[in-house]
Amino acid sequence: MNVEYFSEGLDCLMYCGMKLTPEQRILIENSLITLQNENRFTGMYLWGRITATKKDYYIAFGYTNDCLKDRKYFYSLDQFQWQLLPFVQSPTIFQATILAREPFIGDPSMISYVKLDPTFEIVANQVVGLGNPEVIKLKEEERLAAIVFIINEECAICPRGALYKMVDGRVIPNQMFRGLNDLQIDNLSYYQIYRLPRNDLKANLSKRTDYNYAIDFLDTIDSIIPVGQAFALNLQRNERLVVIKSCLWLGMTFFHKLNSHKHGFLYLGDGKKNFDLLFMH
Amino acid sequence: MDLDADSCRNFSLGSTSSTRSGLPPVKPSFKKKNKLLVEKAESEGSPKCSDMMITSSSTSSSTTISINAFDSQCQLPKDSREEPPNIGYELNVAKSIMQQYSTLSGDNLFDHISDIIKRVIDERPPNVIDFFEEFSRNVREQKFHLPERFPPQGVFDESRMFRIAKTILQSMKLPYNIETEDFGIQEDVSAEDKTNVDDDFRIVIDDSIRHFVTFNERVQQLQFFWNQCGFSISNDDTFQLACAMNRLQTHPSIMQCRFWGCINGLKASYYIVEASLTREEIASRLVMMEEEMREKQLPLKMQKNREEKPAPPHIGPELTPGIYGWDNYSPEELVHMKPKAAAVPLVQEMEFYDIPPEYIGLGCNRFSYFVVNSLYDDWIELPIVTPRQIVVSRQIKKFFTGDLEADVISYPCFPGKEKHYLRAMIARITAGTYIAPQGYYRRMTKREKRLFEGGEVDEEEEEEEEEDFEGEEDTLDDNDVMLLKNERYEMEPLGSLETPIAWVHVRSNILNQGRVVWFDEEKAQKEREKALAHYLKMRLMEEMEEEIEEEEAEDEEEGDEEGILDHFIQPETGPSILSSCGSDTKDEVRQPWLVRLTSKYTNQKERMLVMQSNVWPGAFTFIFEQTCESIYLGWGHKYVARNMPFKHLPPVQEEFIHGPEDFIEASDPSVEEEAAYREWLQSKQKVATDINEEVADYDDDEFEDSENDDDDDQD
Repeated sequence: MNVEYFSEGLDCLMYCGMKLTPEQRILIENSLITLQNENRFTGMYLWGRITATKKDYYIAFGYTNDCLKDRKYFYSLDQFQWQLLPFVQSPTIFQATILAREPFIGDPSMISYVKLDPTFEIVANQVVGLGNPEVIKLKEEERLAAIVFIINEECAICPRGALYKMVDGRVIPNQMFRGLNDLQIDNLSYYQIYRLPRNDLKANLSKRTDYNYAIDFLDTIDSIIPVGQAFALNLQRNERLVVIKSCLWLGMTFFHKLNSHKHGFLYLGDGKKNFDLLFMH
Repeated sequence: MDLDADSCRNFSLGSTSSTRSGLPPVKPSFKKKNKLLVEKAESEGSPKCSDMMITSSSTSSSTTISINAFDSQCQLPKDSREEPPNIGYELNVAKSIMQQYSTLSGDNLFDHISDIIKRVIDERPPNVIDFFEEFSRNVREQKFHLPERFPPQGVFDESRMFRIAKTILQSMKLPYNIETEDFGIQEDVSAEDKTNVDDDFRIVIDDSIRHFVTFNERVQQLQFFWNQCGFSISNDDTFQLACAMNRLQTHPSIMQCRFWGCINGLKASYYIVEASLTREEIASRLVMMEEEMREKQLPLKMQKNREEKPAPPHIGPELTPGIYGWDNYSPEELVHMKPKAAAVPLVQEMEFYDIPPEYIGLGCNRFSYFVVNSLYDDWIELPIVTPRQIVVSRQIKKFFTGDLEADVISYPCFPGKEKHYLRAMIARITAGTYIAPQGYYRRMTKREKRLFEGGEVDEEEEEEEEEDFEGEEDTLDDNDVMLLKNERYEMEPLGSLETPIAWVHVRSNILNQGRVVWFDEEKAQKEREKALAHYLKMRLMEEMEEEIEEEEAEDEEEGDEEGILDHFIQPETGPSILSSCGSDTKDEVRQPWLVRLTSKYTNQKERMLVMQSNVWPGAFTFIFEQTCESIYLGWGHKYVARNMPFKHLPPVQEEFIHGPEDFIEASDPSVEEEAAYREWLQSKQKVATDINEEVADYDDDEFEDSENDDDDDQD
């Protein structure tokens, strides 16, 4: 959620039940503005909070040139000292993050051991061998980075037209964006995933008749699997505010105000994926 | 449009002036040659321009006028054109190209670009060059939406907000809404007065019960605390919630109510209010409920108006004797042979008794819950919860849809609709997450209990009890009780409350059985059997008209003895009410409670302590001085470490197991065998000439069966 309209955004996100205490709000808002200036970011966003047993992690990100590619993530335990979140590349770390059962503790240097799933050798549809499950050493800081990345990839949302791809390929917030109107606001195909597109550009463009190269390059959320079950859309405040909650990562909430450029998402949760989703509808 | 037309006009005027002002720099070069020529060029340029303007911008009348004025000035022949380079002429050519109409939209580029330039200068959007295409598209789009082109009286689309705004106003019962003028208003006022009177009256009557109000009914005050703690419903909603709760509180059958919380649904969320009903209301409901329960606990055979269903005469295809080579036997033997396959099972009525739900006002059903999707609607009361619903709800995990009547599709099958599921979840969450510091609540004394239940208390007794109040022995050691606020509770420093050990559960724990008070199912079963035996005997007696009183008496004695002997079943127990939260730890959840202070940098007296449940994410309890309240804001799901251990479906058709003899496999007969069979058949037909005619009608394939049947018939 953008720091520019921080408290207004928090008010809109209150429909998930959670928000920040006044002290947290003041600390985070001001320390993020400071962080933005120190790092000379063009945009600064609060990403959310991951509940841990001792201290909660607060996550923020900022960008300089491209708001999809060169985002830099920060985390903080005390809401005003922000540290850079490491960039995780190893697939085993991601695997271990997904499999980790324990809740977050609140100590970034803490090391836990996660047993991966056993590997199977399959020949002609028959299991012929069983590999020993690997045990991975997982540092909580890396786990945090991985979980933030995964959540962001799977359910961070922006309305259609909020991001704009420039001629040189950079993606920046569209300053001409005036918000969705009341015909578009309750339609899931007008919301896009805030990540580098995974679908083919042609596939994304061909979903619309009125496509626009600079806007429709992102994946829309109506095709996220499970189709029609991954998100819950609600209209609030006399139907002037749309609130979309992710069913896959409970705690991810997105808001967008009708006919205004204000939109944002915030994750307030414990970093647990809802694996039971398919049984719950 | 007015504004836009104006701007257009200004702009086009400006443009003509720019042609003029653009010329002076050119002038010097011409000056040397001939001033007249320049004059000519200028005047020649203008008429051309004016032509264009007349044809193109028909909207701007003033332009044409001004240009006409120009026209009168220049009367030079048109063919006297200057040789190039002539800036004025070329500008005009360029302009005319720009002003070419689109055959599709009737628009032209010149107007569009002038609109864009005007917008850029008026609005000064940042980095407009980066979004130029978007900006240009926007400008064009808005041009089409000018109200002049779509007259407002032609189409007026009712705004989405309008409908809701109206319902909100209606729900607040504003006098403005009443259309029958003075009469209506007066009536309304009098009605209001009446209700006020009623209110006072009710309070006077229920003064005794007012003593037992433990709920904090002030939502807006609580909202302040919630805001401080970092969880809350929306600020706008709080006011509406206060209005809506007021509607509920003034209802005569409600004693007290408080905001329970909010459960998210996929399409809408539920706002839930917890209420306790007045004694009269409970009593009237109890009568009905007891009747119903008695009916349900009756054994099947004792239930009246039960129809004896005749057994179906025949199910499925009739079985043939299932031994390979049966056709070698003679028809006489075949008749006596029994088919080998198991008989087709018939539907049997099973005697099945649910564990009865707790009565209204007791156990899980102590409080009633009212829900609403949007705060301006009327409150809907949830049904009572049954133990079975609680037990099944523990095995499933579903999203709420926001529709109370929606089906809950799950395995094991949930007995009820979404409202029942919601009610079961509320019962479980309440039982699990309502906590308070030790000593904040106290049990009722005997006297209070009697008072609460509606008994009369003598004044003398009262005094005695008053003295007894100090004695802790007087309190009742029961799990299913309502607690009262301890008037003598003194706030401990927050530091000492920062551990779950200092906190206690203040709502009764629900047993695995799904009840607060354990129900002895086996005992009930025995009672039912006894009742059934008694009932059958009575019927027998009625028929026989004999007296067997002695035996009956003996029977009863025996029954009692049995009851005493067999009553060894250990009642199920769970943690009792007011037990410490420190012992909540389970395997699944290492740390059941998270303790958070709302602030670090303020005065110690301004901080609040928040207890956050890990077992039920979204359940919070805060304490600030004398205020300790719990609330739930979440999805209504219990914590699972990774995924829910759902019960698997049983193997298909496990209730009717097939043995190997059910499937007799035989290889298809070869051509020779078929020929032999036909021969054999013919030889047989010779013997049994009587049936020959009938058999001849059938095809070969059906021979076997028909043959067999015929054989049977024959015998």
